[in-house]
Amino acid sequence: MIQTAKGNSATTSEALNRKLPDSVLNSIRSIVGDANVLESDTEILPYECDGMMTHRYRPSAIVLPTSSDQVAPIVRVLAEHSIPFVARGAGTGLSGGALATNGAVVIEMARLNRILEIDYDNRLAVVETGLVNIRLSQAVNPDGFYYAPDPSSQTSCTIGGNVAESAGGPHCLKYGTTTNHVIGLEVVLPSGEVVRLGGCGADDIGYDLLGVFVGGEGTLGVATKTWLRLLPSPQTVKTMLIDFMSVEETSKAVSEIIATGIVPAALEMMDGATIRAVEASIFATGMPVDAAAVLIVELDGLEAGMDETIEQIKAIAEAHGGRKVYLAEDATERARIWAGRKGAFGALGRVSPDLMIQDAVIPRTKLPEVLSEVYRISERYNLRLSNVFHAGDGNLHPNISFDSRNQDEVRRVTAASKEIMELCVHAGGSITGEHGVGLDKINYMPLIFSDADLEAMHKVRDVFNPNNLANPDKVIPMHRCRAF
Amino acid sequence: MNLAAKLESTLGAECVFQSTTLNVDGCRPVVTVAPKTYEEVAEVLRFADIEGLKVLPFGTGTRLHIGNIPKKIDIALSTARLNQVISYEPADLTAIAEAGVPLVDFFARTSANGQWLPVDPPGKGSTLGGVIATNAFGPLRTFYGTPRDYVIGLKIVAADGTLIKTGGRVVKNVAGYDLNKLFIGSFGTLGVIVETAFKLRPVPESESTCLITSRSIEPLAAVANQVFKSQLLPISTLLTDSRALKVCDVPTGEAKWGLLVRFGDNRKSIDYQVHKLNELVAEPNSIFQILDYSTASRLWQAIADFEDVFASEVTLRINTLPNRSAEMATAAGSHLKKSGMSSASIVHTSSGVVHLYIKSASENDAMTRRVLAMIEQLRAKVGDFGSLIIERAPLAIKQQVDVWGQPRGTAALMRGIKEKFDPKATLIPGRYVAGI
Repeated sequence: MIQTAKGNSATTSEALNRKLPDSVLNSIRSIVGDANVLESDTEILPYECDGMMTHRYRPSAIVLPTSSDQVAPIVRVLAEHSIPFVARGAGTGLSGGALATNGAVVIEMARLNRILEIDYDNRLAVVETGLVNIRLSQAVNPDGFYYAPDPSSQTSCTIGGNVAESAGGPHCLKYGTTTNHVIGLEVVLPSGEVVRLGGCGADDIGYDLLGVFVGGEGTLGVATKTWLRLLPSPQTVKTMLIDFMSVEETSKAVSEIIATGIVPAALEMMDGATIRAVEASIFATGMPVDAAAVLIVELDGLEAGMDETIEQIKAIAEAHGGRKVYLAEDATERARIWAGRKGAFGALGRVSPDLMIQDAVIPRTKLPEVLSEVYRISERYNLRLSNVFHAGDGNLHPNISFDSRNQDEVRRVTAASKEIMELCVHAGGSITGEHGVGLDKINYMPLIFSDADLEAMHKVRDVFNPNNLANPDKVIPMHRCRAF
Repeated sequence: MNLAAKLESTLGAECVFQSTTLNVDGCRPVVTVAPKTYEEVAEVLRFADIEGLKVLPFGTGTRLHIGNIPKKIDIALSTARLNQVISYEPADLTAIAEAGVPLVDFFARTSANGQWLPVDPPGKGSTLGGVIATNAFGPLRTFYGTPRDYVIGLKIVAADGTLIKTGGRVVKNVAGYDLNKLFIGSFGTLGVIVETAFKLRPVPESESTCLITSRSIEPLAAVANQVFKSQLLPISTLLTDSRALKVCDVPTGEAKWGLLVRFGDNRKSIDYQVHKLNELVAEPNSIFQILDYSTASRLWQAIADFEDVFASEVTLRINTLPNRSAEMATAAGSHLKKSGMSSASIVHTSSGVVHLYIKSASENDAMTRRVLAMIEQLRAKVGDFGSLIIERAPLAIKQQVDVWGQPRGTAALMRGIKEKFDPKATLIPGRYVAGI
């Protein structure tokens, strides 16, 4: 996706000024109250785009339910009039998944942000889907628990958005993505019918509709309530910062850590260009600016035996030319390292007006060769490339800094992005590890899925969302075999 | 030309077996086929789909007792000859294998590199495809979860013979819908799984099993819950009645219940955890012991295969909340005792799964009625946030009750999915949930 600093330099835009019929507006107002339906241009403007700021679509209205039982009646009104809708959380998504194409109505879930129940005996929490991710961990931390999925945007993104994307984060290397932590959902189907998917105890009977819904990017219905798994906070957390003089050796060290049987809580890589951007910004953490790359390796769990694992990692790092293994001494130092990592995208914003953040996954053993080729591609197109990513699970984020006012540069960015994506797919990878397909990657889907594979996805969508009203035009491309 | 001859002409005589011992709740296939390629699987399904024949997909048949009575089976399609490991990259911790590879063979292949697919379902001969199709699990579920947590990609031959790929072969992937989930646990009703891709885990360096016994279940359930909420990381935590332990040759003295806690990690971590667990056992009448390695290994194997070891005639699986699991087990136990039936129970205290194993259930009509009455009562007790599945039962019981129970509000969605993927109901009609 292309992130523009200015927004007005969007490469595509659509100002579909669809007006909802008064009867529909009145029906919705009677459900949520007049003040919770937004229609004017100025009120709607913030909802025209999400975290992917190059695409803009004007919603026909914004509806802000204030209780979860308002969602089904809203959806029923829209369904009766065949009006498309998009459920939206905090709008931090990076693939355009929350954009209102076709003048869709945005159902803004952010006010449904209550924690309904915390049940430590069963290690679960019941929350409304507009809850901001970090609020749950903050609520249970004092009692020694946390919610594991931690996307970089966790201070603003919502649980509902996380469910839609099956969001990950640095710690999903060890703990899995959102799909591994959701035990049940209350869902409003696009018809307005309310169903519960999954249980809140062990497995439900029948097809795993819960597992299919998570990661459905809002095209299968609107989740209003979710049963989430809580984990006891680990006894010990150790965070290491290791710097290397060669990207290739850094990648090999990553592969070897995994192959050795160590399961770090997180294993992140930042290349030299990223380090220098971070160190020149307010996120500076004291990383060596002359390094080719650094690894952040975090271990968590029981203290007993962890020293041996640290020694193993040190030995691997040294064998690959690691210059220094820095072990954070306390929670403050750990937080400082993570601030540098999570602030990387912000820091890169200082380098140029615009930033293209890519998201692709490759088998971990292919890291050295794929990364070298990614750098070669960017050199060939004369672009400024930086890499900061979840190395432990092979989830790349190649970033290209550019100026969207320079049309020639934009053209080169687009061409290089496509080549990078094809390279990752060719290496046996996937077109997205955590940002989702949304609108941005819909045309890449045929790179990894056949018509028959995509048709299987259409079949599932047709069952949940037969009239294509829930988040239309996303995830699955319309393709040839839909023609008959 | 008869059915077998027709299939022989397509697949070759060596892949078609007319005499078959397969018997699914009294339903016998006319012919069993074991194709060697995905294309052959597709040919069988295309043929059946056009001819209106009904197909039962299976691996080696270790879990065919689960399900309602099938309406009809013409062709039993085994994936046992799709038995190649396609690729295994230890440094990626991933492997791709054909669906008919036996779990034990797969384990042997990966354990040479200190890695495994950490699932230990019942049935020694289970194939990878069978384990996925039934989302089968064993005691390792406590820490490692179920096959659902390890599948990263599948290839499926749909009822009309189309090959579908779901997921990919990388460990993190959100491209499109997660259709792996649709096929995991679908019991072959949506397509035949022909290829599987997994992420693997390192095998723990070392293991220790502790057994805490007591005359009553409450103090043990309390310890189990404390462990569940603690920073300890057991790979298995099971609560069992003494009958189960005795069947597995573990002496229990006067105790009626045992709590098994198994740790797997490096030695230092295990020693620490064993010590901490011992500290949690506060109740004076509970006895704490560490089992020696050979007893522990024998015990875990026996527990994984407990249904066979106990020769269970009726097996019930209750899915409930972790903190209600012990209570469900005792409620069922006292009911069974009153009815004069021999039973044993194994409780997964961290996932809330209770397995009840019952003998002499089919002796006479009165017994059948008692089991049915108990199932009804337990289903009511489980309530809105759980379920009871009859995993094994004689025909007399299956004829009178849906083994899965009723889905809550999702039957229409499930039938919709079945209708889209298998519109002619070619794949084993009648066996699954909601009449599918």
